[in-house]
Amino acid sequence: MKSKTSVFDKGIFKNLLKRFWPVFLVYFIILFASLPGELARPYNGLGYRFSYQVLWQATTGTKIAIFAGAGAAMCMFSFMYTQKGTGMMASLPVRRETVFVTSYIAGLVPIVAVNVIVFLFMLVYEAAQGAAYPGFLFTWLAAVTLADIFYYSFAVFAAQLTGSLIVLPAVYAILLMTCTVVEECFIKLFDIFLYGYAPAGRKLDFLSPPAYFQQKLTVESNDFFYDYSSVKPMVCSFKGMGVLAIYALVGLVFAYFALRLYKKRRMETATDIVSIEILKPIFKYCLAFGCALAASDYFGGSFIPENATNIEKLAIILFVMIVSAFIGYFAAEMLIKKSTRVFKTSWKGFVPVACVLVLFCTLLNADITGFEENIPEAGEIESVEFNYGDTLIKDPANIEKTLEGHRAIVRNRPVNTDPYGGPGYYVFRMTYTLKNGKSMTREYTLVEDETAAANKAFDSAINSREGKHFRFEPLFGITGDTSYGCNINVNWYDVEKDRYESDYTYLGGDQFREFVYSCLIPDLENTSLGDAILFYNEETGRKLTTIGVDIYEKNAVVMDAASKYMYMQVSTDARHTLDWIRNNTDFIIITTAENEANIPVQEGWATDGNAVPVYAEATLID
Amino acid sequence: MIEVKELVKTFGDFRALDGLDIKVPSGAVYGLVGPNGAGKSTVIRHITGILKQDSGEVKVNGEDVYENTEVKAKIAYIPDDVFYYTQASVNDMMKFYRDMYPKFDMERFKSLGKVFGIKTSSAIRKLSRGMQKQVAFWLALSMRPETVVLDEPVDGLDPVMRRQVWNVLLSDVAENGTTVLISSHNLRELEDVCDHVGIMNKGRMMIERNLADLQESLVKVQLALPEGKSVPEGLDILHMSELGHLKTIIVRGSTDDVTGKLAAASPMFIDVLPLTLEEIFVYELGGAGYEVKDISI
Repeated sequence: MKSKTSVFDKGIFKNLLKRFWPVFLVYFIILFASLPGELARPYNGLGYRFSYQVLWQATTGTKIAIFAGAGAAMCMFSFMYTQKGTGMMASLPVRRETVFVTSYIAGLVPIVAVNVIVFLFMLVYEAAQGAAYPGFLFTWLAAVTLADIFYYSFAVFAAQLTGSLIVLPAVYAILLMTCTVVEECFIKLFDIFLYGYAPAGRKLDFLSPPAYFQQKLTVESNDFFYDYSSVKPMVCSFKGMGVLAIYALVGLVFAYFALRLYKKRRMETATDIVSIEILKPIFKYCLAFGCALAASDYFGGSFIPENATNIEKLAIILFVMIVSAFIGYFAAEMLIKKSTRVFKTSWKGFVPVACVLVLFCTLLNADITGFEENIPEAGEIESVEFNYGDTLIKDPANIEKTLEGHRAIVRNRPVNTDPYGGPGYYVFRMTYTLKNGKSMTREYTLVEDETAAANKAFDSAINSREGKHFRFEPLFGITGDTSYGCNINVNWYDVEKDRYESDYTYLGGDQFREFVYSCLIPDLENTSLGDAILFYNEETGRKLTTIGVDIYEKNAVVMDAASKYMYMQVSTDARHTLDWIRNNTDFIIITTAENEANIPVQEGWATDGNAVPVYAEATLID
Repeated sequence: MIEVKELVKTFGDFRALDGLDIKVPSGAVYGLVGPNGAGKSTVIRHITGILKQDSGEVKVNGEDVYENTEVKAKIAYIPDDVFYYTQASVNDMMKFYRDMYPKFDMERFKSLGKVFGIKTSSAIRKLSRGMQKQVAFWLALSMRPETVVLDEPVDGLDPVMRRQVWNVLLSDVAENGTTVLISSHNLRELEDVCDHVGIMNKGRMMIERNLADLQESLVKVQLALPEGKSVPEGLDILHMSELGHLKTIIVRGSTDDVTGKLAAASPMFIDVLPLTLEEIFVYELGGAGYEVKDISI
């Protein structure tokens, strides 16, 4: 006699495994291809493959888990989606709790078993190759399994919300990505309606695990001197295991809620699109508003001319949103009622949807929060950061110049103009850091116009002494104790050849210090060398040369800190710099169409600017 | 014993069961009949623990059925459309049910296998509908249930197999006191096997009685009356038809009572005919608005 309190039924468990083992075989094949299959390729040494690449395949495995979880849930709970299936299962002498727990386990155990099998295979394979590093494999196993637990549990939860097997994957995918997509849609709407709105990246990605994992799961390495042909493992680590562990726990919470829902599930809801009565209106309105938002994002931006007035934008967006909401609302109604004859009985429910959309868009367009006119006072501002070169200024005089430009651009807001149809434009972004700890970001498309007050003010702030010092801070901070050499990479437009050319050379020791102290720094301080040029087009490009200066620091351990790269526009008044290059290198620098300077290029010089091999040489010089 | 008291079940706006009462005595073979949409399958799904009622009670042997594994372990259910797992063989389903039902009898399974003559290795989905029904009976009877619930059980079975199945079922009733609840439209067949009948309509029970009592409570009389004479008052007539002077009437009441009252009209000819269950069904429901309609096309 079966125990009254048992939550596991062997018969159901065996039956499920026997019926659905091919699904797990497919999962095994995919996982096998992603790890052993991928690592069998001899593109790098064993050490790199069995360390860095194993960890990288862990991130791939967490993506495969999205589909493994959905597939397993669809199989294990497939009985819920037909009247016959639910009838058979519900008439068995088994408690609902037992059916659920057994089905849940029957889906999770094979997934984990497949992970373990692949893990063990890799252990043996690595040992046979004489390069076994179980630590990386354990990390792979943990990452993939934790992701599987989350996605499978979430899919089981999604399975309780519908009575249709076809709808289940859609519900699963929509719930997984809703927050990210909705946030993107709102960002797009704000961008359309609010002058100066600056999309600052999404904040709600943690509610959309696939997007969040994409950001948080990565492999980091500080092994700057690693030999890729070596058998030794690379020094590297998997980032995001804590995130996966938290989400796995969250997944188990979803599994618990799924159990609660299953215990109350009405078996007659098999084949219903929405199996929980209270969710039906929610589904209807979510689909209506979801379609409206998605359409505003996809179509709204495409149909709005660049020179549209606010009223025109409002009309177009509203039209797109209301039509899409209409489709979404009545599609939901048809799915719920399983009939196409829903208009007469349901049209009244659509009226509030339309009203909400009209109200929302109208209020947004009217900027009732005063977003567009909101300009901070100088006394409130700690610093301002610009998107050009990430320039940061703190000087009150420069802050005041920035505010002048901000007020000018708000005051002279363009109407009926296409900023992208003129001679030049620049998408200018500035972030105020306020003294109260908050920040405020604005983004405007500046149109090339020498007389525009905003352009002049922003140019003045960015190219102030403070601004240039910030952009080229590594140069100003050079001492003999910290830096010892640099790469110069010069790019110029060759009028005769009608193409851009580049070349590089390495400077070390006295030559390096002479170039920096005698040429670069004086020209930066006193000329337009390194000035930010906001309006850059093909014509401007033909007149400009740029220099890239890559300064190497002593005793650098981390790769990113080994060098500091700056690039600067060279103008004709940067005489010290131009003369020094002319006299000490073989670069041809053509700064104007009239070929002001013309020096032949030395044959055999590489044009590849990759500084790493040069850095390796530099260790010998010092 | 199966007891259903004031059972109510709604699906959306539709009230499928409207205060239904059913009482199936232990060891009885109970025929549940009713027009299409009366709620027969719905009440059966409550009795087998599939659906949960909105209100009312559903008990088998004095215990609530819903989520009661002990009670459900003693109930075998064969729906009108049987569900089997895809790719399952008879053997696979046998093993599944053997694990589920503690009283599953392998010896009985083997002996019934000789009756049904189907290979246990056969893939069920490849069998005909009738043979799939046979497999359902095979498995259900092997469970040694105390209660058997059948929804349109013999649909698809050939006459020989029908007789075979009824024989096995009735011998179980006789030997073990198995309680059987059958829902079917095949009233002729039910008449041969049932000892109790319940006629339901629009979610409610209209008549529930021992079959013999039911047949006793309705009388079919053919009579010829003299000119100028009509059928006496005071009779509960469910149906009357005329062919010349010959009248056929269906009257509620006992035979003696009805013939006694008719005698007052001095009929020239009077004869009492036996009523079939089908006729009882048609005429009782005709009184409830579900009569056979004369339609000219």
